[in-house]
Amino acid sequence: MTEQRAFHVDLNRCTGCGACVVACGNENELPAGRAWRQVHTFNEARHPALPVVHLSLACNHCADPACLRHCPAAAYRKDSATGAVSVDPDRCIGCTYCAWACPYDAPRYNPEKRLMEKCTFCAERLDEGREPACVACCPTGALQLDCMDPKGDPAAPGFTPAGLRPAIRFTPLRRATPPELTAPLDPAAVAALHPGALGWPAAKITLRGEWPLVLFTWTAIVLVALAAASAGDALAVPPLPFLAAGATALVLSALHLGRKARAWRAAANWRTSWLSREIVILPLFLALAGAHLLRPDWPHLGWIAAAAGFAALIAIDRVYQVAMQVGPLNFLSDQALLTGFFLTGVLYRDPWLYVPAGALKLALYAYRKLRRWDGFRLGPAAASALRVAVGFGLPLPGLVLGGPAGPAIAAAAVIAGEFIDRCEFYGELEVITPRRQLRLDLDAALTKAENSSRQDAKAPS
Amino acid sequence: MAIYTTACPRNCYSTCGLRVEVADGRIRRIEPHPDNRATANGVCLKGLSYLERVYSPDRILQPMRRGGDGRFTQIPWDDALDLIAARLRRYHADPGPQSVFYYTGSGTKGLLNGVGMNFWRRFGGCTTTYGDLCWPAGLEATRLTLGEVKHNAPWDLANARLIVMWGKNAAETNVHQMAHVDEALAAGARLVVIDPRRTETAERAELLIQPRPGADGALALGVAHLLIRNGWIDRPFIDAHVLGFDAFAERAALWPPERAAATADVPVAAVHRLAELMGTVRPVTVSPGFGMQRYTNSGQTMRAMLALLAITGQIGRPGAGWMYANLQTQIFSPVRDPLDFYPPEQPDGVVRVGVSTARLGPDMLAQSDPPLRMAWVERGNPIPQNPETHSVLKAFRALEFRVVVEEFLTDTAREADLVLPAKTLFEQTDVIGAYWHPYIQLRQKLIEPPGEVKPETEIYRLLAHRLGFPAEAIAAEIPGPADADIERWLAQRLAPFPELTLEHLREGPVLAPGAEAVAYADGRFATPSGRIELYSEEARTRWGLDPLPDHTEPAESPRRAGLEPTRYPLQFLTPNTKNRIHSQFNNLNVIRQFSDRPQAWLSPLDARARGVADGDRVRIFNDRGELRIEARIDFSLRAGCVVVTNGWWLSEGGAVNVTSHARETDMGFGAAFHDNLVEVERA
Repeated sequence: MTEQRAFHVDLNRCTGCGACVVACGNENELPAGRAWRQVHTFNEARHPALPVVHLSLACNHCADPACLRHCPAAAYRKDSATGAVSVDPDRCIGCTYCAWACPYDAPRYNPEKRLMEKCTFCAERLDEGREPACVACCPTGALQLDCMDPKGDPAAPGFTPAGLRPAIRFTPLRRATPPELTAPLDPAAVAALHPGALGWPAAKITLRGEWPLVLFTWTAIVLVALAAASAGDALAVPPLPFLAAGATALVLSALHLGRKARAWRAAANWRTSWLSREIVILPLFLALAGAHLLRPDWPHLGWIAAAAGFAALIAIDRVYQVAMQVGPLNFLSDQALLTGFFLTGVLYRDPWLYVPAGALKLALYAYRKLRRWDGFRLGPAAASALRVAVGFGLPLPGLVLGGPAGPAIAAAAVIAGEFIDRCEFYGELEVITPRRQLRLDLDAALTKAENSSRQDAKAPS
Repeated sequence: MAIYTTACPRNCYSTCGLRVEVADGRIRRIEPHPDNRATANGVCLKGLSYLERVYSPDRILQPMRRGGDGRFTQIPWDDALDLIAARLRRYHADPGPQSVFYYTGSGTKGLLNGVGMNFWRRFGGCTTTYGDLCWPAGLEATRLTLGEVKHNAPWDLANARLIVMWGKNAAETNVHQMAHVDEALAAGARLVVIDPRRTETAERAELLIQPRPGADGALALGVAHLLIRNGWIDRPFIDAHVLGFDAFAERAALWPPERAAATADVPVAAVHRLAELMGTVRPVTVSPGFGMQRYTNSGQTMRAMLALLAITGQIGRPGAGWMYANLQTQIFSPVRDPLDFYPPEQPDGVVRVGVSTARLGPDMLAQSDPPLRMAWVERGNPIPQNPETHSVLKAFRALEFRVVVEEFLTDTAREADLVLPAKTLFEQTDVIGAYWHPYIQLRQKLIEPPGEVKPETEIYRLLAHRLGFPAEAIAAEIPGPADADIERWLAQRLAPFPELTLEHLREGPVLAPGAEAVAYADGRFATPSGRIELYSEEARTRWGLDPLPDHTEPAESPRRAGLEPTRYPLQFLTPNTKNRIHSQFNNLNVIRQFSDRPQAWLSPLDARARGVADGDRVRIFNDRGELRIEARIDFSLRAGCVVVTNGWWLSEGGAVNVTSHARETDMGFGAAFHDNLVEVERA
């Protein structure tokens, strides 16, 4: 095995000219705008307190690639000679999950081929002893081919240190401060207009694009709770509608795939991919739960099915936690597992389960909304109000007072409330991309600059 | 797959050497040529975009005639040539050959460009232009001061210890220079950028001095004042090589830093810092841009800047000098720029050099005896690119017949009666020079012209036969159609230079014979006095200017007496970017992915004063015209400026010359289109 090659970007030399992007498009015959290399810019609006820095990124051919680990179809491989990470077009199912998992936005969906594609490191050129096209064409020599730095921790604005051992190095800015400007600045005008000139990069995940997954995950949660309720005889669940809903959920889960006919391949990478595990466990749960509903007399089957169901919910949660670059203990307010417990508690009418689960959900929901707060906007506020009223308020009378229809209304309200939450979650869900990271880094750098200028103002002269 | 040497012929500093892969008669890959030391690192995005440009579905591949409804229909070459020949015969008879206006732009470099004028002379004459849109004031200032227009090799910049990028945004307009800048900075050099905008180039600087546009001369004189006052000058060099130092010192004495700072609207400390750097750090290279010399006062501005290098002895040394333009590759013509594009002192009666490029519209309309009837445009797009679009448009529309040779349906081509398809750089061999690096390069024919495209030489040859020019004259003045004919013609031009053979050039770029790595190292200056002339009698005799450099306000200046100060208070800056060469490349998808719509950049102060937020639509206007486009905030732009980058087409509402005025620079017959005051309001 030869030493892994790495891209080397000299931040002093990169002017953001875009030649590397065009070279990549030319080499790989990609239409304009779809090159596998992109240049991202820090401080594009030229805030006077911060430097402007360009980040030219393609695939970093990580030593521990997230795409490879999390691809459910085991479509990725890493070449032992060059270190190049590649996606096999015959194995890829076009689920785009690798694009969620990669913080560098390297895997790209090709809508014509309905497959993922990405930077190949110009493997053929490397074999011929030539540099990748982007490197060969960089007019300032900012982008070079280097050897991997085994100890190095690449750092640049917009570059997420995700622990993947990316094969990229940066030469940091020689002078980290912006040029001293002589034009008289009007701090009030800068402060008044700068936030409005920033904006957030377009979201990679949208409710409109992922609605089948909303329905799929929501249905899965409800079915798991129903199965759990059925296991303890809290509820009689009719088997046929249950199985029909389960089958529908499975179909929904495949709807967004670029290559639906290859959906079966999603189970291929169960060893490392939570998405793959989800795809393995959920049908297993449905089979067990279906068997239990059809043969309620088999002992323990209901509880075994419920356990499989909750395991499936854990897998669902891990799928999103991985995409959001957080660990398993970073609870999401719409955590499928928690929602499953909450609904199960409601179905059992057991306050020892639904009160803590519901309270925790409500607290996490409030935390999520407060963290995202950027001023009052009617649409999101109305959705939040509806979600809390329907999902937490409406069930209360039925749960507390009981009555003939009370529990059923309470359960239906919780399910409806969770649907709104699931929709909101997809609308808000955003994975890290270089552009998003750049914006986060810009906000952090601005705060730091403002604090230091405030301290300068305070310091005795 | 075969790999060939060629070169990019655009009007650009870099003039890259290229290695191009061709397979099955198609261009496959474009990569840098390692033997062009100035551009060996890589190819810019425009050079790489040729893969799209050559094979674009929008490319014009056959003659097209405009019908009454404004639509173009394809016509056969024979019909097109018959039509042109008939018109040419008619205008030749009445009102005379000079009623045909021959306009060429800077779209493509090459020795074969000269064939056009051979044709028009043989035709009996024509009317053509003098001056140039781009750089004449700076060329003339350099010529008046140093005698020639040349500078050190581009890579010598790495030896500089102070680099002053004065009004030049090399990161976008000469990206390869940034590698040399970075080499110098890595070795400890200092970089100062002088520009109202915080450009990509400025990002590397320790100091960005942001003067009022058009007031750089005042800044230079203030620096000169301090250099002299503090003794930061090179006495032996001045004594040996400089003419007029004492007079210049008296002039500079009138510009104490306070006055210079107030005039240029920069902090006094900035004048002191620039003077201290230029006075104490050695060696110093000043790399001035072209935009700064497109004001009515700018020849004098450039002379004032040149004086700083003269009095500090920073000419003729490694790492030092005036990196404005390097005409050492202009070896094929007895007269170099700028003299080459001045009107002849003795008109020959055949070609009427009667239209100022800067005043294209008004001058075309003003031609009489004979008035203009027909225009032939090649390598140019004058309607959006020359000053005062409305009058250029009016002048073209006033003609009876217009022929435009073009690759795409540009704003000028849309106005044509007949559009003839133009070759690209890969479709005919030619020899090109450069104006930054010292290489002569072969621009090789690598593919057959697609469709019915014919190179201009062939169009002229066919027309010459139709018009019945004598066969021996055609054979002598216009190369034949075969590749071998073209090569024979070029070989004749190369014959005086034994080191320049086609075989040699096919291998790679060749240094121009006699090219100096360090210009003026011999201390010889081709001025009348043989010295660096700070005092130039020719400035007075030729241009009616002060023999000494000075700062006067441009014709359109917010500070000029007589101008209503509040009506049009903003200076309209229209800089070039990395994405276009003037209006070329603008239509390509590869370019549009980076820059897809015209935008107007405002300072936060000016935006706030006008109630403009980022993304609002605004109207940029003056008495000459208006643009309605999206506003953006540039948080580091000096107040009092509005910026729209050059190169957007009129047809998409972004052509910046709609508000400029047809006016010449103070010297060199340049276009002072940056004298351009406007106002901005929400649309």
